[in-house]
Amino acid sequence: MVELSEKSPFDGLLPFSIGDVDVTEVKDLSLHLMAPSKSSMAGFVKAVKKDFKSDVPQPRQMISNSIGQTLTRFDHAHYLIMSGAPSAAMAKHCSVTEQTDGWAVLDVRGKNARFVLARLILMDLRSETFPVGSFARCEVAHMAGAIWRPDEDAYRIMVFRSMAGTLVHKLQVAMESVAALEESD
Amino acid sequence: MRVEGKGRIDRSTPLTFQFDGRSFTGFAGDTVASALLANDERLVGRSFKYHRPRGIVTQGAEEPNALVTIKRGLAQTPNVRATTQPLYNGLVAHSQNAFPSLKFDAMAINDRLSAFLGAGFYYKTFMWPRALWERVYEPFIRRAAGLGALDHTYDGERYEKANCHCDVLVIGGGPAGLMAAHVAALSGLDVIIADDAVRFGGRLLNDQAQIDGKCGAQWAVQMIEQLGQMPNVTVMPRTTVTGAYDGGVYGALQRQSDHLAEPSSDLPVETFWRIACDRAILCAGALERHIAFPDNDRPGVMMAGAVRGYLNQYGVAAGQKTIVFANNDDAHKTAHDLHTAGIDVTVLDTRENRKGTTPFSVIAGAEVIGTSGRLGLKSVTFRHEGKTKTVGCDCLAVSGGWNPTVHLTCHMNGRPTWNDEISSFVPTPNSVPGLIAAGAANGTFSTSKILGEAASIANQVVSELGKSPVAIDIPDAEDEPTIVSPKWEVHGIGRAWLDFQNDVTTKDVRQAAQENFRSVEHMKRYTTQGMATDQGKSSNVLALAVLADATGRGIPQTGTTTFRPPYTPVSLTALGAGAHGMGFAPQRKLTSHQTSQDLQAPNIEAGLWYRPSYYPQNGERTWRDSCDREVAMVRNAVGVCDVSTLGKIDVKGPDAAAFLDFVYTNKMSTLGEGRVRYGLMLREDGFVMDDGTCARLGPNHFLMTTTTAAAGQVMRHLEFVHQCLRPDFDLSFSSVTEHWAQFAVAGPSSRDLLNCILDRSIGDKDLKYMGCMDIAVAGVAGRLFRISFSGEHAYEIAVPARFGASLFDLLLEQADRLKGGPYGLEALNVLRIEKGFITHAEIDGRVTANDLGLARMISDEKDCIGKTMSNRPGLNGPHRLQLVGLKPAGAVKQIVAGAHMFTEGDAINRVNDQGHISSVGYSPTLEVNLGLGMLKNGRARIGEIVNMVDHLSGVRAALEVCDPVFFDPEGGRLRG
Repeated sequence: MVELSEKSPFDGLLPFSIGDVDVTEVKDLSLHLMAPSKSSMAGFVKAVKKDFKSDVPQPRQMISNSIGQTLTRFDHAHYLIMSGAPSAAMAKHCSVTEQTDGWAVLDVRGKNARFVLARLILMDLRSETFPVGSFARCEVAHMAGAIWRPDEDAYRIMVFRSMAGTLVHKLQVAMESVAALEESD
Repeated sequence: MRVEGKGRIDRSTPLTFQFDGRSFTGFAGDTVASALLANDERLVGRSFKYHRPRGIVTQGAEEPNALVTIKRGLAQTPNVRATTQPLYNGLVAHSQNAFPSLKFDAMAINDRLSAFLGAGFYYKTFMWPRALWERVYEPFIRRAAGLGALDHTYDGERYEKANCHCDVLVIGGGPAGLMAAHVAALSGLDVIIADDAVRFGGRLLNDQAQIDGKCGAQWAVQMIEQLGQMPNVTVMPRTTVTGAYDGGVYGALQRQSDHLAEPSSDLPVETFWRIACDRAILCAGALERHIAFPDNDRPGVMMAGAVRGYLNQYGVAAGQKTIVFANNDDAHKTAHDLHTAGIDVTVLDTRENRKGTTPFSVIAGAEVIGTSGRLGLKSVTFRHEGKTKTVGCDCLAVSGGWNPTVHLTCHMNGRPTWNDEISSFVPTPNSVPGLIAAGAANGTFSTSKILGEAASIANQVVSELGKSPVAIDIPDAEDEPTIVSPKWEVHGIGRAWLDFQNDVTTKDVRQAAQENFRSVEHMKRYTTQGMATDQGKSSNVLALAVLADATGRGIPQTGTTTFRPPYTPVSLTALGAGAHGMGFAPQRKLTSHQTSQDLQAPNIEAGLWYRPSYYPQNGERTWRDSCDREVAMVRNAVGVCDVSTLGKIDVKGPDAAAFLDFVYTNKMSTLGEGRVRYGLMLREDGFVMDDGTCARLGPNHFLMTTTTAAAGQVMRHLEFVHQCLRPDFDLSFSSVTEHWAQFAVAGPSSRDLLNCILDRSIGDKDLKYMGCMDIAVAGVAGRLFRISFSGEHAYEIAVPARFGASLFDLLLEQADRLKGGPYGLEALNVLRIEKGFITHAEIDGRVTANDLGLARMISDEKDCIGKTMSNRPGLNGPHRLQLVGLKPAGAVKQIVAGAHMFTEGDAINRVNDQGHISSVGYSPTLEVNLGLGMLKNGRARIGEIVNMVDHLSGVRAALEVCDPVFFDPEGGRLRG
């Protein structure tokens, strides 16, 4: 009888902390892309309304439902649902493609998290412009990725699974630098 | 010389440092320049071209002369301006561009020969003989000229790049900057205030100006402390804003550790910031300009404002006896402060009408016509009322007026505007969208007016950004009018210097004009004025005034040269920060990476991916040994190879089949469910873009694979086709490359191996060649494809990536029992060459389907991208290079990739080129070297012998042209 075991993209790399910033892996975040077509969009909007009590999210917006799932606009054609597969009602009105294993997801948490990410991400991550509940596709240290804010103290980042090691390396260098700068002030 | 009771340095913290191997003492708060002056070191460098002895001239980033090399551990940083380098304990600095020593420099011979080395000398002299330029002249000139040097060792120091955002960026922390930042911050906007010095205050630190009845420097300290405590303000000291770019983006270089004696190894030396803001207020102040009089470059000749600054900020007198030579009132403040400090001072004012009573001597209507002192100023000769007089002195403080620091406002090709009142250029409004100048940078010089203007401009910005203007009391401050009378040049005997760093004189500029280089841009290039590391900050306006005079035009008509970023030099290590070693590019690792590493497999980079190239075993001496074994293993037993890097694109929707018919040359709509087909894609221009397989997983669900190299390109292509050409098609696609880990299992025992691990074993009928099905391994749902890139009975098995590492280990464990094992990219390459399968070595962007012998794959029954264009005349036919196989036919058995082919008997030259060899490998199966190549009219030449010539290695061989499929041409093995 054979057995298969799971291995995380950050196996052996996380968690770690430098200065006041902690990096932890976000595990078991099931990810599905949903692509409603033009003809099925009306049905999809209704299904989202039922599941999320909200209109479909606009770009950069993230909405959540009562069972802890979040929904966001992923690109021009796709919505991304996290923490579980879409309900049958939603799935009926779109093409669903699972992406869970394709992405490596981690949290960067701490007072200086934004300053660490300033070394990896071009985007404006200030609270006024990127409040809790925001989501954006962005480049993360030359890698295709996305970022969102689960809460005030943390940023959640994802990059392709194969690049997890590079993300950790880049974070580590930036965190060392930010910690040293704080120390020298 | 240090003056007791003066300066804002910390005299309780003495610091020792070295300059050219000698030890000196300074104090905390000093710069290298102020500490050297305090120690009466006036000679600090040699000039670029003539190796003239030079001393400190200014007090800031505009310094042309005092460039030193700072050594710290392994690191050696050349061309550091001593005037901006903070002193720390143990600092080691060296002078530059002098040999054997600063006092005796052998290359100073150039100065004696200067009559022959003027502007244009290189262009006229080194024209002939032409061949000597590269071998003799240029190396010689490069050796003779120059500044500091890098030492070629990697010093391991950290540099970084970072991004920040704000509503208002205030550039400069003098009176204008502090006031503007204060107002903007009070309104609630996010503010960044940056200043290139360690301490904020700008010229308030250098002057004795009073603000609100207290010392200006103290006011600055209070202001910056208040700002630092506000949550919406970021204070950035030691930060030079170096460039203005589109969309409110500014580059800024922050020096993070050059002020520390023992910085942590984690601390970056510099951070290069990309600051994005809605508005920027330029409060960069003004730079004092020189007057061109004979021998105005001796150590001891300094700017008047700098002499005042060294006294007030650092408690340093630049000389024991100082002459001030000026055309404006501001320089009289220098005389006043020196006099108060007990220094002997006399003012020579060029203006006849300069009146007023002063406790020091003022000679109106005087002009300096010469100086003496080889390594340091000894005397000044001036002309007054027709008489010439020489007086001894060791410091000459010169002021020709002030130039607003307009640089950033010109970074988008804006030109400054001439202002007669201050005899200088001021910023032209709206030259850079969103950037407004205030204070001295805007040509406003009285402290009172500066504060008022800064507050008003800040309030204007506040309103524009939707906040309420802030009511603010403008503090009381000095409000003297700016009185300056233009004085650019004093004619006399001897060279009058304009650009100290590049050794350009007034004579050079006149010569340029005389030789018809009359445009300011031509003059600049002919004389090299303003082309040194200081970019002519202290000499540009002076030089163009001389040019204006020489050409009989006014200064505004003459215009300025182009101001380009960066404002001050930015080290390449800062610009390229993070891009060395591991940081060069993201690394993409396979799920099987660790196992391959454990098996000692060397990696080969395929794009960003790291793929194992072969798996060495005991006794194998070279990669070839391993590769040969792995090929034989696949042909005779079974091999396992990670092929997850190939692009995988999930295509879904009612129009998926029609869409694929449109992007592939062949039909995919006729593909049955559970079947796989090889597909070819063309670019719009009819050339082959990529190939791969396409599997139909359901009625409206396909899985396309691409090559590793073209995964991104194909995805982009599909988006283009769908969004721009066929938006009517109802489908969606997404890359699932990373979601699935996929492994090739190839060889006669491949099915036996799979049956060891699959939850339900398969037989021949369950999955025929070019079929696919859902499977499960230990309960994990996956997919199985019966496809082959090796020519063997083979499969590709895919599971979600989290199980990839485990599945790879499992496959190797079971393969071992069947005398199989892992194989790498080298063996994969040999296996496919034996079968004549193509990769991007063949599909190099220049080949058509017909060239590859795949013309029949372009379906007649439908249209597809590139079909029409592929039928253009010239893209098909016997003149084209066509895919052929090649094997040795003579004594030399070697085939070289990249070598060219020639018809037997033809001369070996470009005109007779018949094509090239794209792929080679040694086939252990056929025990011969094999090649694939693109040969002119190749398919018709099978059986012919051609000559291979590799011009790089010199290898020549006779090759037989054959069919590209060398092994199992009937394909019995892959179907069996």
